[in-house]
Amino acid sequence: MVASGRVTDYAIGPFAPSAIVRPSEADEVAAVLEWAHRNDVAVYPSGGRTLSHLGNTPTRPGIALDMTGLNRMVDFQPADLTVRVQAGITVGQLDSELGQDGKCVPLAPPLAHRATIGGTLATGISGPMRSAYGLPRDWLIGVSVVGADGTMSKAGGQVVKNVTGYDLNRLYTGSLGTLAVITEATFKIAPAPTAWAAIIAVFENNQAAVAACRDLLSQPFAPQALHVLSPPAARRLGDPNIPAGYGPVAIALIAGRPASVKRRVEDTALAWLDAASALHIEGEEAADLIELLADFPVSPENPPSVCVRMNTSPDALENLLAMDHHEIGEEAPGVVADAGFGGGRLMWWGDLSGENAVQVAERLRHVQSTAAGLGGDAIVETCPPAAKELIDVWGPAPSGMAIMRRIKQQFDPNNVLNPGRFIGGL
Amino acid sequence: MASSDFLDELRAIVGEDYVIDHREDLLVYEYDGSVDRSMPRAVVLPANADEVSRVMALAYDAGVTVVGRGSGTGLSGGAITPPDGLQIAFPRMNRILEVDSINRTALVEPGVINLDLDNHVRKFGMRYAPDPSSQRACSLGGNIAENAGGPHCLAYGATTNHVIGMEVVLEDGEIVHLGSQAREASGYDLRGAFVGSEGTFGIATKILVRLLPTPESVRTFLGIFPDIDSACTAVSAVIGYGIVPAALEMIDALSIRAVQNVTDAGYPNDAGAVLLIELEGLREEVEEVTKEVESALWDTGAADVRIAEDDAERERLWVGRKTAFGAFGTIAPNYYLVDGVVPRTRLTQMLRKVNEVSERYGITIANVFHAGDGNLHPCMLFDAREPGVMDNAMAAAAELMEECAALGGTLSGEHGIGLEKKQFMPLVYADDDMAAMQRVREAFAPQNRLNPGKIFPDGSYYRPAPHPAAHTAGLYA
Amino acid sequence: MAGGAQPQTDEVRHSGGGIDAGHGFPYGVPFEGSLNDGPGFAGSDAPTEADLYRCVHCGLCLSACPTYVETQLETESPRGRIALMKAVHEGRTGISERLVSHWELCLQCRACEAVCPSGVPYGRLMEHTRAQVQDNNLASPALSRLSRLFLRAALPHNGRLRIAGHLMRAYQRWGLQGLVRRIGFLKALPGGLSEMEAQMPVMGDRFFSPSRRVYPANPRVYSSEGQSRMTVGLLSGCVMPMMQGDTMRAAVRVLQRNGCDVVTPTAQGCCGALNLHAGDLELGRQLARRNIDAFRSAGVDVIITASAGCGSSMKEYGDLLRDDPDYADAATEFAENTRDITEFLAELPLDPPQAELPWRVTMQDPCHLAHAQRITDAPRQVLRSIPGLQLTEMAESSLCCGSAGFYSLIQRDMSQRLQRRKIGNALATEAQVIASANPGCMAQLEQGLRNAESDVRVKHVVEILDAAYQAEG
Repeated sequence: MVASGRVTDYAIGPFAPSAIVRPSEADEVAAVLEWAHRNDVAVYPSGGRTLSHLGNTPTRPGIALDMTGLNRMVDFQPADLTVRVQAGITVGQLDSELGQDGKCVPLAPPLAHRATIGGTLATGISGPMRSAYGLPRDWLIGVSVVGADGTMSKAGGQVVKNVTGYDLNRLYTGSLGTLAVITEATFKIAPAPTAWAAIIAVFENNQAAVAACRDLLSQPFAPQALHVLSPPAARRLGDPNIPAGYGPVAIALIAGRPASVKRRVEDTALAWLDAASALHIEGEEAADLIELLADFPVSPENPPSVCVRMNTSPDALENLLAMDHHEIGEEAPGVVADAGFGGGRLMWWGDLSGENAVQVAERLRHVQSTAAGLGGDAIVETCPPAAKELIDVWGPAPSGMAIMRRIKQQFDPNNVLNPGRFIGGL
Repeated sequence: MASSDFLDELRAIVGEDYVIDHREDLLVYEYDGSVDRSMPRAVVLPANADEVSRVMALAYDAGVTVVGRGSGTGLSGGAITPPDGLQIAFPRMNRILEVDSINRTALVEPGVINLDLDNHVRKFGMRYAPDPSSQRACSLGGNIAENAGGPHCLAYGATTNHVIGMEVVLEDGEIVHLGSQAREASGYDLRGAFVGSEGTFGIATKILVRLLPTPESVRTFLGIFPDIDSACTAVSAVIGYGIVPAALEMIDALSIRAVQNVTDAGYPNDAGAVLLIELEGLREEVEEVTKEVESALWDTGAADVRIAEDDAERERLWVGRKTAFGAFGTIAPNYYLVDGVVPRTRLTQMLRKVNEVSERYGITIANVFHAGDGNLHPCMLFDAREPGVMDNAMAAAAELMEECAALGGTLSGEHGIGLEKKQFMPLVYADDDMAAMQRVREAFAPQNRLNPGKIFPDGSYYRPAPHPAAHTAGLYA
Repeated sequence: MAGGAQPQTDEVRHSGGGIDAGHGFPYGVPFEGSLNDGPGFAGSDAPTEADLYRCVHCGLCLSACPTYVETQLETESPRGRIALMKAVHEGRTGISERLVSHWELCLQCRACEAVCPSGVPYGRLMEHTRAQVQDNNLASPALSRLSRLFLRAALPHNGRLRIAGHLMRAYQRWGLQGLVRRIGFLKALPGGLSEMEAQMPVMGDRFFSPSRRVYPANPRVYSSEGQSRMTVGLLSGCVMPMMQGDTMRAAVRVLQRNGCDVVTPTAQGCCGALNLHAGDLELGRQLARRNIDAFRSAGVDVIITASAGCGSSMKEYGDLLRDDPDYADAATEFAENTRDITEFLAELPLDPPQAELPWRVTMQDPCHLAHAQRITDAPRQVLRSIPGLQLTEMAESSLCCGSAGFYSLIQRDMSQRLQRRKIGNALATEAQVIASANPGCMAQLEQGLRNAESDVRVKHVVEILDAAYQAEG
């Protein structure tokens, strides 16, 4: 099962693994990990490699564990609204299989046609509809994993409601593969929306945009998701429908049954009469916009050189929009803020390779401390490798760091799984 | 443990009145809502997180086991404290500290009663969605420990979907914060692991919950069916249609009788089963889905479909559902409830098994449960004074749990494992699965001082004892 | 216990334990024997096993219980009190002073009963438990003294009561009360009396006379206005005619106005509620028989009371006398024909007043109406029938006001805490009038309002209705 791909394809920043292993069944994954554990070799699990740059740069030599060989849908029970899949299946493939039956798992990670289920769970990455549909952890009901020593175990089950034993589903989700390698996952699924729409409105200034969002979110007809883009972010998004104005752009994303979509569109349009300009799109066009927003942080057409995910509360919306002065060199960031869920991203485009790494790191630390000041944190998702060396991309250690260390110690005492990449060097 | 010095130090922390150690008083801290019983050495009622922390540190140093207790409504023995353990109860920590309309969150203390929180936030046009049947009495702290559910969890998820942050005291008294209003924070999801850990990881002293806007429109239906099979088919039909109602509850003939004995909930006495269905959302959406639900019900053999005309009628239908378990007291003096879950398409099969077990064991079993998510509550009704009846009921319960597991389901959907289901864990988890769980407990509570002896099989078994009243009445010759 | 593992025993060790489970280490190792050497339950009036084990300790009663809400202690909750009864029943403890203190803190408001999904007859359990306490002479000294003084010596005897009432009224009217309060004279009296003085209700200006003169042979009959629809009996009972003369007269006028001939039988007397609550079941039964006889001979269709506490106990006469072969049937019939006056008026339904009564009113649900009789809508229906009246609901309207018969004398601290809570909730509505339907509550509310220096008034629902009728001119 040693794969023939080039190790540079599996690079994590400047780090390249010494070999690639591509198993096709869970017991092969177990064999690899058992071997690695015995021989003290680090293992870097890999999925669709859409977010492989996430986390701190590894220092320990090791092998890449390509999980894309485990790509089957194991069990789909439309009447139970559950589906069980292997971890290497792409989100896009799962979407299209479920879509044939009018169902979905509303994950929407970036580059869903390449992103794997395992990778989406390991990173815990969420999509633009998170305020209505929640995070990946909210849909996961069961998981099979291979532990650091090659032991196979499972948590949760096949049913939508379950409090039998501890909830390890949530612990594994977002743990960046540092505790175990996910081989199979069971999700609860939902009826897929049959209609989409988006309302795009440009406001005079941040204050007006924030006020309009607050008002809309308190209404019963509030959209499923609501994002505000600063002007540079709106320009870079590359959606032909987005007006190239100079004010912040609010995008209300609406999905569901036709009758309710219609009502939300009408009432939102009415509520936003004050906007400088507003337009609405429907159907495929709106679905495309959702995908564009999902892909934005790693957009192949327009990749940011630096991208920071801001985890802040909804009431920090205005503060977030005001962070557009955090220049790196000459480059000011674009802001994408999730008004409903809270948080968002700061993105810098342009070539920053000439910038001094120390200054870039300085700026990123400043952003992290600003986030902390807002009661949240900032995760540096993308940045030049030299600057990455100088910071913890996950930000300062949170309360509970000691527990996290003990968890890592319990699950992976030899530090085999994705060593050094997660918060605080986990 | 528990020398008089220890108790004096406890009194110094929380005050004279809030350490209960007289054994006559402790008689009322022996039980929860289920069948287990054990008298703690003492009960302490702290007023704030600082007191909790100092109590925990003191107990830690003294080598004393600590068990948290909310309102004592649990149904798995989770708050039962070992004889030399210290019970720490939270009725005094019952303040709603903050309601934040912009972030749509509330910050509460663990002793706040679930329904009090919901009633309070409704004044702000919001709601707290998880609604266990004991919501009038159960506390948020207990809800977290058990990851409590309720009828409306079908659409909105259980407690874990609504608790976004906590202040937690660990076994050694250290205070840590897990999660926050920024819901995608860095690091492991300790918050997610903590919810549902049945009090073995720590004690929550502040709880940040997510609130939902109150829906514009609510519609409550009663689907009336000639028998339980057709009602099960209707459940599958509704879910299979791609409709996820806010709630979808089943009440069988026996439960209807019990409820109607106590209160007129508006359930027809001659029905084989009724489905209580609630839809919520925008007017247009509710309107549209109503038609689909109605046709699903008629297509699967409903004898009648009634829609609640007003809030009073809606309330009445729900009162019936929420008082059902208590109402079983009108049929038999004791009940024992199994909280198993099966995939929704296996409901018919499972209920046939329930019926078969009921006949074979000669035990009356009533069914009132969260049909929409396959969470059964077969409820065995008996008189514990009859010799051997407890053994019989437990054996029947074991068979039902085995069947749930065999059908791809699980042991507990919302009540927790606690004391009474721990020996059944191997039905659904292999040793390695449980070992992984234990690792997390090791990380949170290395000394295992919090609520030990729960959840995992340890060779001690659930052992029903004869009813003492029967004993004194000489029925046990 | 941490670390001190004991092997699990196969034998079921059980000296107590309810419907219990032995879990082996470390759980379910019950203690052996009894916690103390106090007496157990005995005799035919002991709480029955059937009643006790109807409680499945689900806890749904907790938030409804005033003493639990105030203390947050499980010992002061309905579930806890029943657990203590069970423990006595099971021989795990005897009746002790400590247990009695928890039982005596119970207001017997029966709010728990109204929310109990299992239908636990809590009121009956508590009455029987108190009977056991009495039988063993373990009641608190305060309760014992009071029950000798009032429950046995005064209440059952209308003549003695009337004399006492006249004395009290004179005392209050002639200003001695203020003087005595100022000089602290009563503080010098043995414990309890000064408290009683503070609790003393203000006597009405005019007593209500159930009979023409003092106890003539014939009952007084008040003829209906217009055509008579039916003949009703009205309970005048014991203290109502003196404490609530206005209420009684209003009740008679309101019934007359609604086409009823009203009879107040001479031989009637105290309903026995307070004796029953205190556990004096025997005297309670005697008083019940007296009232049954009195109303039976009066030939009335219904028996009406304007006192929720009396109504609730009269509706339970059937249960009380079920083992009395001579009275069982009559008691059941009596109970079935008993109506609270608000219930009766709402059922009629009443003739709505024509004149406006622009009062802002809040309703305080008496426990024995709302919980014991499950009547909450009827008084509101009566109030809503009055044009111009604005009904505003207070928070916790059915949480006990702390009066609870003689509770306010024995459990002064808890009674006052609940009184303050109630007055706070009532005043928050900015109502001008607090409506109630029970004399005890009305006295408690009046006292609370005096303490709060409020000019809000307390009126029985029928007094308000009567005022509306009077306003018609």
